[in-house]
Amino acid sequence: MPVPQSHHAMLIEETHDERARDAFIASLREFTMAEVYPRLRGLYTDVLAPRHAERHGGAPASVDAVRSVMEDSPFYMGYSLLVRGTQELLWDTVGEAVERQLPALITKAATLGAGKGSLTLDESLSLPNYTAAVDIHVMPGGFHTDITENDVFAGALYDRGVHLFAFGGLGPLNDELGVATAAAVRNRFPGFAPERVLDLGCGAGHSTLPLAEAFPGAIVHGVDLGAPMLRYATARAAALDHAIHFSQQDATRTNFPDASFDLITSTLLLHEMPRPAILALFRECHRLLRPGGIMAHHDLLRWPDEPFDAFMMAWTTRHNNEPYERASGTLKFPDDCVAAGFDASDVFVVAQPGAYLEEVYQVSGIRGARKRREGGK
Amino acid sequence: MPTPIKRRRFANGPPRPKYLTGAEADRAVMMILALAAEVSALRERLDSHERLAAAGRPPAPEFVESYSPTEAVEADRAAARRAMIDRITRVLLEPDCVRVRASSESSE
Repeated sequence: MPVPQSHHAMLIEETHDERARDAFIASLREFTMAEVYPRLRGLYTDVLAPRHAERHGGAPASVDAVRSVMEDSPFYMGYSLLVRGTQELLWDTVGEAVERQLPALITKAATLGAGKGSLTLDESLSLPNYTAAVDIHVMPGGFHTDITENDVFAGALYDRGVHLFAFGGLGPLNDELGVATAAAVRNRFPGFAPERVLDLGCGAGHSTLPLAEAFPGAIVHGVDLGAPMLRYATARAAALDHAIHFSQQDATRTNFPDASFDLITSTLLLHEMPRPAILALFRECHRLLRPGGIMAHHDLLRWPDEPFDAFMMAWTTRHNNEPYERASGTLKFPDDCVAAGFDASDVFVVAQPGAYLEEVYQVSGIRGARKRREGGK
Repeated sequence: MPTPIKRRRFANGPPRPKYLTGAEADRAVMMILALAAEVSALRERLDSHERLAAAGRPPAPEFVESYSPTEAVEADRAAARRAMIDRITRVLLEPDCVRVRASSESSE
């Protein structure tokens, strides 16, 4: 793997053979994404679309028409089966190592505690139906299922698993997207120095810690629906000596008072939410921001119109349990921010080619809005 | 550098007869992937044994567990994994144009 994962006290320990299985899975991921994926466009434009045109008098004109020619292609179906199979194998392989040492990880988490930060769980929090309905990324149990008391399984699984998924491309601490979000905010708003920062859908804290690094002195909070992610995130932040305040909350209706934060971020959260939830999240950001505060969401910037590109973009929707992905790509900017209370002239978009898989996620970046101060900008 | 000589990996002729279809075939491929990960791990374990032996260390489990490959060894292993994946996925990733050519030739 090009970039090895940085060791920290909560990262799972692996045997010789577990490391070797991981390495094979990362190699499979790299092979399918870096070598096979780029051949799909050529297959379509050079072979499948002309063949369709010969029979039907034109190239496939809709996403459904593209789907029917692609799903007739043994190469495309072989690619899809390989990627889906690798994904299931990834979680099962890392899952075996996590399961084996879960009691030790729970003990470690208890010993580490919250360090200079804190953890507040809410057992009464009800999981939104859209999250309960599907384990995102075909990760068994999703981000929210507790399999034992004080469970950290989902966090430990995701921390190692996402590193293999990206074959190291998210950096040694899986934090490159969070680093990019913070950098985009600093570049776009020079001199902006938030005192209170909130990271929505913070998961294992991969993108939360870079906010604390980018804005020293700021009080940083992270919220997520998943208790096992938050317990892991808390111990991981303590192990890496960061003071983060984690709490189990629904990002669309938190318990923070109005005007609590100067900066609210999310990283790859929106594309896992249906449109009504994203709009509720924007409204919640507007409520939580102080005047002059900024919301910045790192995700897809648009959904392609061209049928082949749209079909390829929807691969993860169909094959990787990410049913809501199109909603984030088809958000209306600035209108959807204006509906949440922001002023159209305060909405911003910063294109940011993917920290990894640039070819696949070339339409990603950071977008958001600054909340207007009373009577002016 | 001379252009590497590439062998053909698919034969012209009539399309391959159909054997397996549907979900059962998918399940079989996914089992093969898991098995391939096992074979790859076994191969790396053997490699660790050989490198320990070459360094005069006994090939005992504790030495295998604590063996830490150098970057050069990691690179060799990555190349071996890549080559193994290429062998395993040959049929799964058979280019469509092979079949197109094969079917048009057989219909002539």
